[in-house]
Parts: sequence; C-alpha cells; structure tokens
Amino acid sequence: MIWKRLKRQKQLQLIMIPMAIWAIVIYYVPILGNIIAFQDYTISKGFFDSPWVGFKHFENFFNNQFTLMILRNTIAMSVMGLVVGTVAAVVFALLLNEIYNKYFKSVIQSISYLPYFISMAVAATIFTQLLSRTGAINEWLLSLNVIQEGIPFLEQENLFWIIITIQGVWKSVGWSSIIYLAAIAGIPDEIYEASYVDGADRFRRMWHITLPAITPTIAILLILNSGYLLQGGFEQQLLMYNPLVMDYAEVINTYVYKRGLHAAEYSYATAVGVFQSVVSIMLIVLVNRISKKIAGQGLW
Amino acid sequence: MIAFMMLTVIVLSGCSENSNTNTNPSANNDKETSGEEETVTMFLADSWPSSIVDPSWTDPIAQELTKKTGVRVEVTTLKSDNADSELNLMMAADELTDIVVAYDDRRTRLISGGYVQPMDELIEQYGPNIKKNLGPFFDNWREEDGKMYALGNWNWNAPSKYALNLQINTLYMRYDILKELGYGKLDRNNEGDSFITVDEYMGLLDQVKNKYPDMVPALMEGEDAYKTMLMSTGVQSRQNTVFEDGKGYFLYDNPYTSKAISFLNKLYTGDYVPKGFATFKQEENEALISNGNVFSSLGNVSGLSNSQAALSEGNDEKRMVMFYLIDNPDVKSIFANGYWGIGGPSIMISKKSKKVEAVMKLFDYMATEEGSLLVNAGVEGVTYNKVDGKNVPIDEIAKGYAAWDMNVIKKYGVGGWFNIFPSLAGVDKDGNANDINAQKVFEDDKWVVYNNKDWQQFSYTQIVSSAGDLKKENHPEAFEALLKINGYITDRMVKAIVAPNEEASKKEWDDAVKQMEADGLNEMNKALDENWKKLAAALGKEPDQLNVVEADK
Repeated sequence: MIWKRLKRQKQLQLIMIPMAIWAIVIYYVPILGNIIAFQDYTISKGFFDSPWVGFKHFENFFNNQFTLMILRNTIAMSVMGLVVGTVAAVVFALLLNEIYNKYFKSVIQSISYLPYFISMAVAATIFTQLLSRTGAINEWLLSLNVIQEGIPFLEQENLFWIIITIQGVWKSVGWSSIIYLAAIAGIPDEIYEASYVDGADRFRRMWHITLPAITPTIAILLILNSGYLLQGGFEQQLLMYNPLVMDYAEVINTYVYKRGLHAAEYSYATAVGVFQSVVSIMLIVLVNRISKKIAGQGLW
Repeated sequence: MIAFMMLTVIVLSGCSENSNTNTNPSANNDKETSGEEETVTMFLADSWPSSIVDPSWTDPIAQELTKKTGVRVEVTTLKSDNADSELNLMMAADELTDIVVAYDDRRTRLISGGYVQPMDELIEQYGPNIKKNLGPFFDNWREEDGKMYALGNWNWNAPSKYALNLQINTLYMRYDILKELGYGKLDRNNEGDSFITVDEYMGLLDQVKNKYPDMVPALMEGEDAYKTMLMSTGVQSRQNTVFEDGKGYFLYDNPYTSKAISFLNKLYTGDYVPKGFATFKQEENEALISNGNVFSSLGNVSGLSNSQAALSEGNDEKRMVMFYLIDNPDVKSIFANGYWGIGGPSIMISKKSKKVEAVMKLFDYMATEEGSLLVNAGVEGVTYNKVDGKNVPIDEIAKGYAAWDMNVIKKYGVGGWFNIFPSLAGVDKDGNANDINAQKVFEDDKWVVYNNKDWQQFSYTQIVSSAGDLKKENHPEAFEALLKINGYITDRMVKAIVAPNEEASKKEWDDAVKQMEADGLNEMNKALDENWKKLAAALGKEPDQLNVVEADK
C-alpha cells in the first residue's frame, strides 16, 4: 500500500529528497553533538578523547541552589508572555476586524507591525530610558504631581516580570495578530449576515461567531508555543538585567550563557540544553493531549 | 525531473567549500604579498588590544616594521565584545592565526589546551635579541611547568616613574571644586599630599553636599568601588586572592570585605551616590560627568576618561584629578589598583603555525634597540624628531597620547602597538625611554605630573604570568566553586550596597556568604592560600612580600 503510494508520488518524493537531506544535516545531525553533555568536553581533546562523566553535569545543575530560582523565573516569564501575548494578539485581531475603513485598518496594522522589526537592543534602550528614575514616565508623573520623586521601576524585583511581559507584548502583538486575522478572514460572510438578521450586535457577533471560529488557531498556536516555555528568554533578560533584579531576571539561557560560553563549560551548557529539550518535548505532548481532550483540537 | 536537478545543483553548490568568502585568516592560509614579503596572521582576542590599533597595518609603525623585517601582519580584531565566543570558535574550527594575543583565562585556556607553543627553544634558535634585552623578564612570564608560552609587552627595565602615567583605579575628584572649598593639600607641595584618608574624603563629600546641593557627590560602580576600598588598606592582592595575616583569602571574603561594603552602603543611604547608580550605563555616567554634575568618582567609572575632554573644555582646571584613598594615615604605600609595571605575557605563537620563523624574525627585531624605539616612539621624521640629540614626539602625538585620543593613537600606531608587541619601553643608559611619549607626558604634562606626584609610594605587581592562579587541573573543586561564585558575587555585592540600611546590608551580605559557602568557598580559600604560598616559595620570596615592588626612589 505504502509502496504503491510512494510509486505514485515518485516525482514529489524526488523533489522532497534534497530538502529532507538538508533538514537532516541541519537539524538532526547536530543532535549527536549533545553527547558532550555526558563528557568533560574540551576543544583540544574533542569528542573522542574527552573523558566520560555520565550524568555529572545534570547532577551539578539539579544540585545547584540557583536551579529552582532559574526555573521559576523562566517558566513565570514564559507563561506570562504566552498568556498575555495570546490574549493581546486575539483582542487586537478582533478589534482590527471591526474597523470598516480599509485604509485606516491598513495604517493601524502597519504601525502595529513596526515594533516587531526593532531589534531587542533598541527596544531595551527605549524601555530603559522610559522607566529610569529620570525617564519620561517619571518626568510625566512628577509634572502631574502624582509622585514626589521618581519611581525606580527598573530596580524593583517584583516589577521585572511585568516589564518584560509588557515589552514582549508591545513588540510582538502586531505580528502575532496576523495569523488570527487570517483565520478571521476565513469565516464565511453568510454567518455574519445571518447574525445581522437575528439582531446580534457587534459584541455578540465577536463572542459567538468570530472567537469560536478562531479557537482552533488559538489552540494550535498555544500548543506549539508551550514547547518554548523552558526555552524562553535570553536577549530581553540580558539587556534589561541589572544586579538589583538578579533573583527575578536570571533565566536558564542567561545562566547557561554565563557558565557555558564565558567560562567555556560546554558540557555543562549542553547538559542544561538537553534538559530543556527533553522537558519541552514532554510539555508539547502533554498540552496536545489536554487540548484534544478539552477543546477537541490538537497538533496530531 | 528538471526541478529535481536544479534543486540538487543548488544544494551541492551551497555545500561546496568556498575559499573566496573565507574572510577569517588562518594559520593554514598561505597568502603571500608582493616581493619578498611574508605575511603572518594575528588575532587580537581581547577588547583592549582590539580597540587601540588600526588592523589595516597601514600606520607608520606597521609599515616600517614590514620594511625592516620583510614581514607583514594581517590583523584580525574582535568583531563583538564577546572575546570568549570568538576565540572558542577559532579554537574549535582549528583556525587559530599564527599569532594570538590573549589575556587571563583565555590565555590560560590556549596554553593548557596545547594550542600555543613554548617559546624557550624558539628564542634560543631565532631570538638572540629577545634573549639579550627581554631576558630579565622571562621569570615573570614562566608558567607552572617552567616554560614560557607568551611574551610580555611594554617592558620597563627598571621600575620607572615614566611607567606610571596611566589612569589607575583610584579616587577622582574635581580640581576646581576642591579649589573653591579651599582644600589645603591641593597644591601637593608635600610628600603624600595626593593621599587622602577615608575620613577626609567623607568630610569633603559633606561639604559638597551642603554647598552644591544639585551636584552628585560621588559616582561609583559596585565592583570597582569595592576594589578601591580594598586597595586603600594597603593589602596585598593578586587575581582572586587577598593575602593578609599570613593567609590567603578570596577577593570577596577577606578580613576587609565587610568594612568595605558597609562603607559603600553608607555612601548610598547617606545620599552621597545617586540612588539609581546600579542601573547606570556608560552613557549616563558620561552625561553626568561631562556636564559638570559630579564631584568625585570612587574608582574609574565607565565613561570617566571619555568625559574629561568635554568637562575641561574652556576651563583647564575643571577636571577630575587622581587621589589615592587610604584607610587611615598609617597606610604608607598602596597598591596601584590593577596596575602592572610590565605588560602581562599575552602574545603567543599558535602550535600549528607554519610561519614560526617569520613570526620570530618580527619579534626578535622588535626586541632590538632599534626595533624597540620604532614600536614605542614610531618613525623619525614622522612621529618624532631629533632635537638636540633627544627624541621628541610631534605635537599631535604628544597631545593625543596624553589625552589618550584613540584617533591619534590608531593613526600613527604610537601608543597602540607597544601594548601588544614585545619590546623594551625603557630606559637606556642615559635615562631616556623608548616610550618617549610616556617620558614626555610625565615630564611635561601638568596634570600627569600632578596625578603622579607621589609615585614613589606606589607598589605594583610584577608577577604577570598565570603561575599561582587557580586552575582546574590542580584544584577541580575549588575551580568549580570559583566559577559558580563569580557568576553572582558582584551582583550580590551591589545588592548589599543598595540595601536601605546597615542592618539590611549586613543581612544581604551574610546571605551571600552563606551562598558562597554552600558553593565551596572554604575549599577555594584553602586552594588560594596554598597557591599563593607555593608561588612565593618558587620565587624565593616571603608570602607577605610576594607581590611588592617598590618604585624607584
């Protein structure tokens, strides 16, 4: 049966082969490099002469007193970013959909994409300037006599996650809404017409037609993004970091960057990376199952 | 079918080696330039050397070196501020250049990984002038196995005052403000007038707070300020070790640590430093200093040197001048913080280089009297002139060197190459330095003379190799502890400094110490103590005299 199908599709298979080879070489062959997570790898000794140490680096990571804190920070910022980011993108798409003036809609959409193309370094500088003790926000609040002296937004540990979330959402909401707008565009007009006839107002149409129609899209994207819960965060945290928020800013990737690259501890960094990947796969499988059970939607 | 063939061609062409796009010169790249010139490659694996030279090899010193030796150098500087990444990538790809310049643990990694070759035999074979003129420094450059893997730069054959015209981490205060306050020791008429006790400094800060309420009394950066406070006690230190009362301690856990942090916290809670200083970047420091809004800097905050020119525009006395903080009047000699009397051994030849002879020819020439003068002073008639038998730098270079103007330094190579290549900076039998700019600046520049008035009371380390440093092979647990602790300790210290009161600061630091202990602080202290004493024994010195060299009197 399979052979028959392969024979029928032989031309398509031939076209696919080069890209399959490319994908294997780029994505799968490097996985073999994870072997150094089980060695005390040094560049000079290479794969074959570096001594085997088993799970030593994994043990080091789990026994490290910072590990729980780092995991907490990573998961918290990822979850906040995912939830708020998804809600913001969906709401933005819904609101954008309600704009009748096509020209105005295009302008708003284009403006909303712009932050996505700004580099994180620039975004970090913008936020640092805005939120510093003498920044624009404090200047404005002082001019309104709301406060007597500048609020140290960047120095407060309990505000760091919120700042990172707002920054992330500001940067990506426009871009993320594209896929939801595309899903909304696929809703047949007849359904809306029928709702007009039934006397549904704008909000009811949004709630009963638009939102349910894009629920599968939301579910798929949530499942896909859940795999990144432990991968999330590096550039943002590195650029917005200062010593006063260290207990809330350090994430897995920044910690690995400091230990792995600066100190050339490749094996340790790889072990943490392997841990991240394994947990990410488990998360995707779990969330897919939950989504299928609850919403009837899944990746597979 | 056609589509498949096109795709295959595209993939295969993408996979093929493309030597035309390889912009990374490697030791295996056999590029020859015109005539009899030989080209060697060099990688500057640190931000400092990468920032002080023009890599195009077109400045007068570079051109003259090629003329004299027939060797041209293809220089690669850092492309980012992540030297570790770039060097590690080169090592992993086996693409190290013929010459590598690296410091500290990067140098250690190259040596212990077997990427660079020992120099002793090469010097015997190809470096008679290196042996003759730089031989006195060899012991300072040897590693623990007794071999020399790198040569040092900026070598002074006597502890000389001309070597001291650098900014060193210390206390900077505004000259014009001190004059307005009527500071008694401003003219530095007596020996020791450039030293100031902590109590005196606090008194000045109080005066500034009262008289200039809009001025920032002090700027600081956590780690730098801490080290300045540590140095003010006159304690011996080297790398991660502080040696006191016959014992070696970790830099961040020694008998003086608590007092230093407590003082810095007092500066913070007493509103002597801006509340947001922990989040300041270089740009903010520069803006504050160059606008004249800062009275003092505890340590060399980032942006300070860049701001001096703007600050003193229009008024020469409106500038930051150097003072040397001492804990109490009994401290008679302090360590120039992080300062070396000679350049650390940093220039190495990669093991796989095929141009060893050419490299040694270059190095050997630079170690001659003629070559040393070239590397340090430049080319006669271009960068200096002979006046009454003495070498005098041209005005542009003299001023640029004194102000450390990077444009001038890169344009002429003077001030740049001597910080990289091995040469003798000075002095000859007549007391003249090859680094004529250092000599001129020290003798003629009003502010350099002012800043170094008490140079005879400085001590500075001469041990610049990595011998005695904590190494993974010798103390794996202690090394592991150092890696873990270095990842957070300076941030923890800043948190302790910005605590709202003394009690909170003490608690914060006590928690940090507990963390360090959990990460192996005790093993590390033992290893640091052992290394210090072993090194002292190897050099035939007493442990409490290991790191002391008195300046010439």
